[in-house]
Amino acid sequence: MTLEFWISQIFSGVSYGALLFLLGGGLSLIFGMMRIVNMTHGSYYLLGGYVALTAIWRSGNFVIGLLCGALAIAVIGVCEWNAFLKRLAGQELGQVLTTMGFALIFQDLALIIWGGDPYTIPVPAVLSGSIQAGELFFPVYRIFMIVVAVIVAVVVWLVLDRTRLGAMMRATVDDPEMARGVGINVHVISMGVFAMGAVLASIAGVVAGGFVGIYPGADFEILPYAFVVVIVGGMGSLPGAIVGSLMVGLLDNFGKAFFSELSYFTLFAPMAAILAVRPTGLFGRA
Amino acid sequence: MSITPARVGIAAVMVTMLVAPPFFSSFMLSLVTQALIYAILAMSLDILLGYIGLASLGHAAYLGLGAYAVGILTTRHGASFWTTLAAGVLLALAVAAVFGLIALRATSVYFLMITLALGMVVWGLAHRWVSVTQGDNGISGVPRPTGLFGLSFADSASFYYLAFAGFLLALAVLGVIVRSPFGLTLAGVRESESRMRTLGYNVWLHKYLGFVIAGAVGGFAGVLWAYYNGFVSPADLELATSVEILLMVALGGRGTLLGPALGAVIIVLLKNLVSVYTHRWLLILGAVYILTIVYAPDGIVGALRQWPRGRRARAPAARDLTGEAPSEEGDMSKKVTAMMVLGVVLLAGAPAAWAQSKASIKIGFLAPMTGGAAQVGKDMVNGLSMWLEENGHQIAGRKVEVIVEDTQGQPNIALTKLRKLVESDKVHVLAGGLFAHVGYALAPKVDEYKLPMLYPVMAADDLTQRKPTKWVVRSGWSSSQPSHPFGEYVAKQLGYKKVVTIAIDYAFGWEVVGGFQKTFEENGGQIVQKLWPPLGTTDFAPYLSQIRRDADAVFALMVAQSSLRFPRQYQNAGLKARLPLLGGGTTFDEFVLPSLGDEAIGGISPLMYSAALDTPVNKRFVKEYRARYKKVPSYYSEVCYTTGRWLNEAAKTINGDVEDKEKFLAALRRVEIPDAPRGPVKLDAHGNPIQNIYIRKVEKKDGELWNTVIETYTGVSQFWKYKPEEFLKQPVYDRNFPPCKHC
Repeated sequence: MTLEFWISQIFSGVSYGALLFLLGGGLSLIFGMMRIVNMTHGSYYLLGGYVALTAIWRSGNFVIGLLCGALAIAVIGVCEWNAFLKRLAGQELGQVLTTMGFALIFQDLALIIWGGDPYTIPVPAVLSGSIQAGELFFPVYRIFMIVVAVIVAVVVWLVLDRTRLGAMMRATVDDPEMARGVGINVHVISMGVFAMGAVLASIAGVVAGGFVGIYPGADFEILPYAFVVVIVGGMGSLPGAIVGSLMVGLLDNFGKAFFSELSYFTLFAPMAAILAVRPTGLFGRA
Repeated sequence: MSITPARVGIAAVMVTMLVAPPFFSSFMLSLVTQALIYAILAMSLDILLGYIGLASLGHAAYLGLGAYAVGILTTRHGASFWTTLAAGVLLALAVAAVFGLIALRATSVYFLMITLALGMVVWGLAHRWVSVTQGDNGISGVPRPTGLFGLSFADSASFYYLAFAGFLLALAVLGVIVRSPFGLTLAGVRESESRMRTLGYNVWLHKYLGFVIAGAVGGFAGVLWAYYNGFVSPADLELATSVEILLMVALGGRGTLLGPALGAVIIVLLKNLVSVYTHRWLLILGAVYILTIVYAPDGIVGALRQWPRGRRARAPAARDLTGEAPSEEGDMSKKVTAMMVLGVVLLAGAPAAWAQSKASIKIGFLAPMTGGAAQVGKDMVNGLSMWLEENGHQIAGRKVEVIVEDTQGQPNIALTKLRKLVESDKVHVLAGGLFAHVGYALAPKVDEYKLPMLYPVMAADDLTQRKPTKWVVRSGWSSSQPSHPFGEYVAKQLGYKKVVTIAIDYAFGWEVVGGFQKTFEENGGQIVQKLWPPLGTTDFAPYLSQIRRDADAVFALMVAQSSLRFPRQYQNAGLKARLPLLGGGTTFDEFVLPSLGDEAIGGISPLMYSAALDTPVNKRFVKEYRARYKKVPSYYSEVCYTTGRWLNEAAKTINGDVEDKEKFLAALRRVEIPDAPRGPVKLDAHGNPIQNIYIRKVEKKDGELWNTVIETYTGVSQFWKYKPEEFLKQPVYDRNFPPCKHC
């Protein structure tokens, strides 16, 4: 195996991990902070991509598409949470089934609205092509994926750890009653956290739309990966989501390269092993 | 045992189930069979969810384990029913015994997540461990058990009784378990683990045993499922299946055993019957999920228990743990019973609702209308519709009715839809289908139904080679047919010496690459590397970076959505400039060319059709097709167009008497079309078309991408230049045949 091989494998593993981070990070947030098992997360990813696609067709602008997708998903997420999920605190089964119901409904609505054709989100010319370094080629779009993931990670970290809003969020999660006591509007804050998680999924959907395309079924295809990222990293932990997504991205890549036949086994079995030792994931607290 | 209304009611339902089958249509019978098998699965999950209080997101894994044990043992080792039954249950039990050790370290939401991960481990093996599980192909042709107690369970009525017996057995075993002291302890653990521990119970051991029992019974359901479906695939153990089982339990009422069974019956019937009337069944299923949680969190049984006495809400702790209905709940039992009886009556009456019309010829057409291959499906339907429109929707002077069913590109769904078309719609002839592995899965069923089916697209080699299927008529091609001349062309005309192949890892990919490798190497070339990304691969980077840079060219076989992604990723990895891209016909097919950019230019591939074919017939076809559908026809359009004509030619020779299936089949096999858009077509002695193969190069003309024909091989048979007897001595092409001597 040449050095070239290793570098390009690591690069593609990391860039795939970046995509998974956007998706898994949002899920982890909703999961860890609100204790909601959200099977609709894959749908946010899919719908975010579709809405952005339509906006890009109309406006011709990638950024406008991204914003429209994020906004639409934030609204959908907040409605879903407000109308159903907030009453299901602590009932995992109810959460799983309700969110699964929404996932099926969204899947069908997407089919009605956008049809069955697969689409690729048109990306700005700056982001296409590759950068050549000697024998190596780095597709620009993959670099872009990594950059987006890093920006999102930093922003989320800053918001949660360095701002008053973040402090309010953490207080709400740790002890809602006390938080209410000191004058925090727990309802609005919870809604905000849920919306933030959903928005991350929609960003992932838009970014992925320019890379692997957007098509019916993408929601359930990606959902297990998002869960695995969260499970391994530990729910509600930002470092956990980062480590988890990098691990999944790299394991997935090298698994496919070295043990093609056992590639999913090499991905999921280490997860099971980690869980056997640490049932709350690498960075999770019970 | 005292006589209570509940017992009388249940007995009545059981008796009805026993005597009702002769009154069911065969479609209904197979649905009820399916419901019974899922009922077993739902009851097994109820042990976990209802009695221990643990929600699992990986229960479909046990269904899969049981099913794969049957699939592998029957098709490869000819194992008997009892052997496979024991193997399936033991395998599920053993896996549950290991998984239980891991999963039971967690509770609540973490248990949910761990079972999800473990379920994915099993799914991953089913999906990718191709040498054992056949991967995406699935395992087809699982025979129904015969010679059991001297009886055959091949037809749907007798298999129904087998499933019913299995259901009663599972109900009895689980019923005894939940009423035993062990079962009561489980319920105690659910209510308060700490209290039970204080009382001196080994809580972990009880939970563990419950977990293992649930897994083993799940495996039992899997065994029956494999025999029922005749086919096993990774789709059986997807996450969505696991969630669906949870829904069945929650909908019926957890902790009641019969409740989950009822839930399973409702969901299975709902899914299948609603989809007969509307394509929007997902919306309805989704609504059922949500409404269950909002209005009946304790399930139907739970809701009925509370309903008659107003707000006599009972804490779950007070719920009847034994599954036995105390007498003050007679009302409830009566209602449940009444509902079940009503259901049975409705089902029996259902066939009348689908009375068939005799006048028109009914064609059942299978195509992926949703999912990643939806675009291909649309081209297929357009092709057939165009022929019918041009010919007044008539075949041999009789009106034609086409019923299109969506396969979503998945073998198990295609099987269900096939069943529906034959048993419920009573079609006269079947056609369509996409993906070679779907073709292999459907063929045994088609033979079982003794109904002619045209395969315009599904090219699985062996259906006209080593496993000839009487009732399947191929109006399209066989996978390796274009590859044979192409291998020679690449070696001799293009002069490449070393080629790397990268192909989608399923039957079609193996056969296309196999045919290419055989003739390419016989003409002095060398295949130096073979890569196999799975169907549905989104990111090809892990494979692209492995491609040997010392080769002369790359031969890629992509299908459906992968054709859309591959060329650009190939270019972005910097490979296009270095290694010319060759492909199987579907890699550069017209269905995908409009969505591709300049990255596809220069791609060379063989197929029996090109929209750029310069003949008057084809020029007219392309012009008409574009006028109708605003799109260039793909080979999928052409073969389905020609299939319409094929049906007509055959029906004409028998004066439209398609009800005589044997005669119709014989006529279908005699059809010769001298002037199809693709060129002359007729069947060889083995039932595969002899036709031209065109070598095509992607070029840009007037801003559009076209497959310019650069070489024509006329009258190519599936055996190329080999003698059929000689050719058939070699095994069917697969992952490892021909072996990669130069890798």
